[in-house]
Amino acid sequence: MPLPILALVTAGALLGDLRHPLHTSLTQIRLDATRGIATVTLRVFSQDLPSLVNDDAIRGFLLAGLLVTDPAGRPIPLQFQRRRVESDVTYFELMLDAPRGLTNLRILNRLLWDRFGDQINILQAQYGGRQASLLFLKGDAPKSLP
Amino acid sequence: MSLRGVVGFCILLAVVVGASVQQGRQRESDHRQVLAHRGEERRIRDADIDFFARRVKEDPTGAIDLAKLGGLYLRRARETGNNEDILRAERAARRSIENRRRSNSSGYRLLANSLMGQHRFAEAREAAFTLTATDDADLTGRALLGEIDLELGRYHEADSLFNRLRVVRNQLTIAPRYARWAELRGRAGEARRLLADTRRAILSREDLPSEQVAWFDLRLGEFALRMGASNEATMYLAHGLQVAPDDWRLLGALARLAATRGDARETIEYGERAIAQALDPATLGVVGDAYRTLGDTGKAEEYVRAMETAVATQLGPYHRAWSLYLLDHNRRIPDVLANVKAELQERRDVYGYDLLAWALYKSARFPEAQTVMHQALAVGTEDPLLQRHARAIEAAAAGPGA
Repeated sequence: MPLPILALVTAGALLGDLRHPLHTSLTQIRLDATRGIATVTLRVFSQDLPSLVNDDAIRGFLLAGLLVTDPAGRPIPLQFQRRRVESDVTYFELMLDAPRGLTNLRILNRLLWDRFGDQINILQAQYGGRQASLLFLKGDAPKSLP
Repeated sequence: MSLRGVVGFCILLAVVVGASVQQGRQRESDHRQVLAHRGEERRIRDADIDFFARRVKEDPTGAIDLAKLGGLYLRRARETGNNEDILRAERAARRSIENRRRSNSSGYRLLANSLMGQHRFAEAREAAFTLTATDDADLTGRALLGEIDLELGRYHEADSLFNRLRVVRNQLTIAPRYARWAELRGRAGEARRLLADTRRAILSREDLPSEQVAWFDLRLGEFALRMGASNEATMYLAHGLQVAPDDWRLLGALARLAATRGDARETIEYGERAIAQALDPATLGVVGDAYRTLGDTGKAEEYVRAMETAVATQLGPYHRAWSLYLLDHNRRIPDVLANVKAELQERRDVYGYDLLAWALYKSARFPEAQTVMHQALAVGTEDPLLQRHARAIEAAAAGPGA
């Protein structure tokens, strides 16, 4: 194991930004235009999650938190694929049918709002050669991808 | 152009394009290799955490394994931005010290560092003081105590400690702290040289994790950024990013650098990449400003509101960068003022006084701002930000037409 020299050297300067517990999640959406499918990957710190004992519980948690509708307001179902845990982070992978791409899809990410008043959910999407970001704070309404 | 000329031009073009594509592929390949290396480092780090956690479980009465485990938690906290790991490090340190109060330098050092990470400086000082009192040969411990004294504004104590560390200032565990002291005490050039020398020494080593190598690029890049040397900042930060392409602190610094150049699109690009790794409210603010520059006020407001949400729910002192951002944008001025006044009860450092002076200035209390700004400048720190604040306050205090 390499000697963690700087871990013992520079905590003050390095950790200055970390003293406050911030509650965040990151959702990344990538469109595979040829297949008309988008992959949705959700990243959450494991310690922030409620107890999710089985796939049904995970599905319930994700589908209640992440809502996607088409421009006319019709819900688009998300299919839960898998969960994986890496280090102190949990990833959830979902699939989304998007035959017409992601433009103008309306999204609401209210994951963990019931647990943390300061929860900030970041969503980053890649589609059609562009990137877009949306931020969701407690109480926000659904937002459209440009 | 003759046919031979056209053919020659086409061949030349093909060679240039081919070389460029080749270079691009090489860069892409290098990038993938670096990311794979980073992934492997993280895997080893987590395996080490599991290993020491198991050892601690098997022998809960030991001290060294707990200190090693805590050190790894601190490293992971830096890399992922997960606050919970700092708390884990503190708990490990306290258990380590509980198990062995004497001859446990690593336990006290870990405790001081984890408390500093939470900005609990007075408690951190106690731990560092105990460390130096029980082991007076621990030079790193003395430098750590000096670093905490700098944070608390105890400059005379820090002077005394660092003056005695001059002959060993090039040691890896001492150089960054000594440089910070030199910088705050008005010797920015000396600080820069020492950091640059240490970085060169670091680059010749192969046994350090990339995050720790990149930290020196970050430190030097931010230093140059503060001093307005944007080319130098670009050089260091870009190099750091080659070593650690997903380091959120480097990406955030590059976003700030792009903002100083007025490049809103690049600011957003780096800022979004930083936020994807770890959320720093200051980066949210910088990205929000970039959207405003591009005329997207809705998006700008979304980011600034997220930043305010993160700041407003915090207990205790606000982070200095967040406070400055709020003041510069005329937001929450009374909150920041009250907050920094409370913080100065314990922590009377240059940047605390500067922040108070700036909050008073933003509250149109110019004579008070002037008095406090003089206290900030009395330490001798060379920082264009302090000078800019001082000039604005002097001008306001002199009144219109002065």
